[in-house]
Amino acid sequence: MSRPLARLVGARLLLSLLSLFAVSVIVFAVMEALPGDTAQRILGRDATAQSLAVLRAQLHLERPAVERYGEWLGGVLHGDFGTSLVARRPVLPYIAAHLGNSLLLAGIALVLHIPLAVGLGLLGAATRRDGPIDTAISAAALLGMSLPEFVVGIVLISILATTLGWFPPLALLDEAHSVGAVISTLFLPVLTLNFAMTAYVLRQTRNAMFDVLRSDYVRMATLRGLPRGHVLLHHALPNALAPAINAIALNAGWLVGGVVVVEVVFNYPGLGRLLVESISFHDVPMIQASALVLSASYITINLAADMATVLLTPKLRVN
Amino acid sequence: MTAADLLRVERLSVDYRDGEGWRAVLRDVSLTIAAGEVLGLAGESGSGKSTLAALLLGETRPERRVRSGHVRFREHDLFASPRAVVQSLRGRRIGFVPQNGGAALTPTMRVGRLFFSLLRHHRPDLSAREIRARIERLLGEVGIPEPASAGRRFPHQFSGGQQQRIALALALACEPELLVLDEPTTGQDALLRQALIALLLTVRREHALAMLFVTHDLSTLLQICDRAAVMYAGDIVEIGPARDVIERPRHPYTRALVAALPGLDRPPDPRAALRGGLDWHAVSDGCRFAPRCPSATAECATQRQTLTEIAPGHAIACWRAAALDEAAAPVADRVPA
Amino acid sequence: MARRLSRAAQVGAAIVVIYAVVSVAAPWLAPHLPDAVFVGGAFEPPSHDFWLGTDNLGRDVLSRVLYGGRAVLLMAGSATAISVAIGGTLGMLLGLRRGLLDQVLMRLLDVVMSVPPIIFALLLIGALGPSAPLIVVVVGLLYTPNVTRVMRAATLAVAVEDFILAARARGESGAAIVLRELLPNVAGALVIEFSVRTGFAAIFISGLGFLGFGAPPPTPDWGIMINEGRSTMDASIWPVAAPAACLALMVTSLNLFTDGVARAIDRAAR
Repeated sequence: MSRPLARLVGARLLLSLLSLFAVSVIVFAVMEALPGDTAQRILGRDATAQSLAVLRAQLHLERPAVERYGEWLGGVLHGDFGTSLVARRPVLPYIAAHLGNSLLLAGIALVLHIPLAVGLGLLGAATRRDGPIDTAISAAALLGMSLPEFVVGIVLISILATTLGWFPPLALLDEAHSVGAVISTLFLPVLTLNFAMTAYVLRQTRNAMFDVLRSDYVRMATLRGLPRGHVLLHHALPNALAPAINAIALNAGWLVGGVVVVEVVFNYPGLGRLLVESISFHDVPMIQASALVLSASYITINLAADMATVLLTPKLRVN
Repeated sequence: MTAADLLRVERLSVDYRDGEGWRAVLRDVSLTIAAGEVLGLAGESGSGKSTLAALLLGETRPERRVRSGHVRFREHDLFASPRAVVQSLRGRRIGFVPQNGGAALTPTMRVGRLFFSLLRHHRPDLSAREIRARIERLLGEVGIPEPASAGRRFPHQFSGGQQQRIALALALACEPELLVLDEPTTGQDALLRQALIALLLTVRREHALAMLFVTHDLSTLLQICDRAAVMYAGDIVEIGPARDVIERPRHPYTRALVAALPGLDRPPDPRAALRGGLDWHAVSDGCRFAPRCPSATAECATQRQTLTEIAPGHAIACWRAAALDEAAAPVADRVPA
Repeated sequence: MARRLSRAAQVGAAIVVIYAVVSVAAPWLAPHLPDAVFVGGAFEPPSHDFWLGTDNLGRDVLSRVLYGGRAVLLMAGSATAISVAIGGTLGMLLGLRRGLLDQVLMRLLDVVMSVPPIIFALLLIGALGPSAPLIVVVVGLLYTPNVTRVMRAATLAVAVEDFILAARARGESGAAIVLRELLPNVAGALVIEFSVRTGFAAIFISGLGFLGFGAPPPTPDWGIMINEGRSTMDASIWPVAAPAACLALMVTSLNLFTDGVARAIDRAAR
């Protein structure tokens, strides 16, 4: 690896580690270290004195915040995320299992949307600009970007699951024991996530393709008698990929948030749903653990996406 | 029009979209190129020469339309033939060298692959080894150092001048009969320009190519062209043997162009300078050049000029040519030898 | 300027304006109060009294949708205004000033942006309790780094232009440069950012409502309504379909408008 590239990677890694540290502080502080009565705030105004006392004891709120943070962080670095206040069992196995499920969902969605989006963007650009096919594809992309994930999910459930019965309305992954069942369970959540992601990458690809199609080198390739398909695929597309790759990288990060909503819609046993549930149950250790792991995933994915973009782009961005 | 004519442009009129309407950018343009002949096309920016060059490849653009006339390559009418036919001629029998060679090379493709896919498409009869040998020969012929390994490099790894040569090699790759060059030497320093001209002369001799050489530099034109045509605002105003047109220009515009050439021993004559520049909003319907012509009369602006032969093979579009002849002095001594 | 927009973009803009007007006028347009319960009338189909029927508690869906739209638009608009005001100013200043402060602040923004927005919002709202002002501030702050980035980039693109350099040479102060030279030229980017962010904010805030972290009752919120009605869709789809359709239409119109503006700017620049 060249010196400046190594320096860039090193700087990014350092920044990511700093972010990770900052996130741990934020996650802890928001739950346990904001000014005011922590226990009262967590349990709400109608909490009984007894439940307040129990919570204070469980969280050791009599100790200073910094000390509690240090202890928590130390535990985390050793793999000990504490004990769930609700389940009274260690938090880590829950986190691990749910994280795996979320990664499965997000990973499949991410991988599948790439060929779909690039293919559609290419198709839209290949046909006449603002012609019937291009307009249809652009309109679909606009819709995909404008519809919130929960709306898309609910619509898909009511049409494809409830009415037509092709897929289960809830994604109860733990009860799917065959590959076919897993696919059937994952289909609607993945489709829901892909709506927005595909739309975004599609638009970037299409716009970049139109720019590239106006370039001198594409013009020359055509004037040399090369067939249109070849020109589109080998002369135009490689030069239009940079914005598409950037969009895919952004989507990877977006997934961490998107997955939270989709998991709730489909009742999918992922980390996002776990976070939301644990907040409503005031299960502080679980909240902190899931928030921290989700954020760490976000940081890691963004780092990987940045690195991938840098590594792929010098070859493409040769001007 | 003889059987040896490779290319015939017949009364071609082309419009460009201008807002809601169309503006004429070529008016009734006619010219011919015989096999092995080099025709120069001169004119200032905006004269329509680049448009004409692109039309020789049958290029269509949404903002441009062919209102009337034909472009015939051999027996093919480029704008009336099926697209497949035109595509089969491009690159294979008609080559194009654009003005900015470097911009015409796909940035993400290695140079060798550019050649390879082109040759694969047009000459499926050649084997891969034959193609690779041809690429190496072509690159060497245009003066690219280390032609055997140059194919592995990307366009941006070559200098601007080398990129232009690569573009030329690409145009020659399939051994076309006609080469269209759009200002291939513009923007290069004098040394580079001379080298490129020498290369073109060699190429022409060895491949027996016909060429359309578009330029605004008359001295370059003289070095390489057999015949010359001068364009102004979409009209051909003078056409004939290159030496005649440049050393003994008859049309007022050509005279002005030639007079503006610096001779080796004297500066250009300011009295021969043209007023202003080509302003498309101020061209007249008759003779386009009338607003700037030092010899124009009031009727020139309304009278369409047609090319009339004044000597064998030499025609001009000016009805006052005979009258001006008496007053004009020969300008042969202005042209660098 | 309006004529340079495509027809689709004009339609989008018109719809957004209609939304804004209807939202502001909701208290006068709504036939009933949003939390008024009509005894014995749960899941009524659309009728003369209740144009969109009633929901699970017998409340008028149409009125709730109107008031809900008001809430969403007000919250999304305010949050965007905050992010554009702070982020825009910050971005322009950073783009002009460069130097150490710029580098440090950008790194800081990178760190702040490394928390996934929805996690941060859920945590804060979960910790502090849901309230409309809190949601507005949180969302506004969450979008500020993005706006800062975009405006900084737009400023950088323009800052090397000659007229800025000329103003500097004339000794004009930073504030004067921003107001007179810079602002007109980055106005396009600013308008697009505002429009896009409002759409995102509307989706985000409804999403929070859907997850149960929206503004507390009695404020209806399209996200909350969708969440409440989704388990009883077989009884009546209107409590879900109406707010969902309104939300979808609003964001789509915003995006249509944004697209049109971006295209018009692109055409003008060429």
